[in-house]
Amino acid sequence: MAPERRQGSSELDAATVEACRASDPVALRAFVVRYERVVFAFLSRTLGAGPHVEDLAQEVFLRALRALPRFDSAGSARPSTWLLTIANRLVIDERRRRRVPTQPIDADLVAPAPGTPETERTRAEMGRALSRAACALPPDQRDAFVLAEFHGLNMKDIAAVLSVNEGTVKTRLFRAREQLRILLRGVLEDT
Amino acid sequence: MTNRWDAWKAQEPPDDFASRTVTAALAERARGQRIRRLARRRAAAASAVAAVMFAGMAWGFSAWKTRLVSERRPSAAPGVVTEGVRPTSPPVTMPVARASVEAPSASTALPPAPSPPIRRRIDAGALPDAGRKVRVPPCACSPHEEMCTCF
Repeated sequence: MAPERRQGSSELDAATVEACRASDPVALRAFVVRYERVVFAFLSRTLGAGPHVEDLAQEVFLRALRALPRFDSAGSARPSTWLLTIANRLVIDERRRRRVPTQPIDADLVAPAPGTPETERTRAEMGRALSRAACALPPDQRDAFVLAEFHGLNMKDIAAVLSVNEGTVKTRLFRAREQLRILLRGVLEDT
Repeated sequence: MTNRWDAWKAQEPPDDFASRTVTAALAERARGQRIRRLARRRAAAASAVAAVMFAGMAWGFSAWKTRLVSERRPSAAPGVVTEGVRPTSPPVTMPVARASVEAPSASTALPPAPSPPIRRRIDAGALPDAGRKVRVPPCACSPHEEMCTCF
């Protein structure tokens, strides 16, 4: 299971969120540490890896901490979903502004996974193939796919993050999976 | 299928990312507070200036209006009473010494005031200072005269 999804199972407690509102440095640090992997994973998979991901991730957190007094921690929205919504808006702005070409993730930027050399090699090949295939997807389908497969969000949350209705999310996910199945046919059969 | 997707690794955050982000966030908040404090001071100063200007305008307007009224008053025709201004009767000289010597005739009597208010003659005995010795000049006017101008 991906680290960002494992962390997404538990949200930050309301007391820490309240302390963040009061600009408590310890609580702010706990907030960033808790969600940094989620934000990095989403940004690097939707925009491609690189130094721009770090800048954008910091901007996501600064915007979130600026808007934290308006966030209703007792409401239906979870902090992770709320952060991903902010990140998605930044991704849209970034694509519009710079026309960022999506690049496959560099192997040096990702953490090495434990395992045997053979398993490691297979996984690395698989990861590269997936990254290439995902880069071939249209941005809206890739965003929906990343949120569904890597962040474990349900249809309702994905619709909230992408600011579209659930029917649109289902259509995008269906098309993304179909295209990936075609693009990865050879890889999936080999493994 | 999910494990296969997980082979697509995400970029990892650097170790000092959290501390740098927190420092930036705290600096931004401090800057925002400073800007808000400055804006409050500016608003207070602007309000004070506006209040002083408004008070000055009000004072200037009232002074101008008062001067305008005082300039108009002498130019008014005699006997015409300006509205809102209480009519003042012209000063009447009292021929005290001469009245005791010679009786005023009709030709030497002072001309009547332009429009003095008709007042009821007050009995001297009814005045509060009736007990004191008050020298009242004798009046030689006949009771048929319309108005006594001796006083």
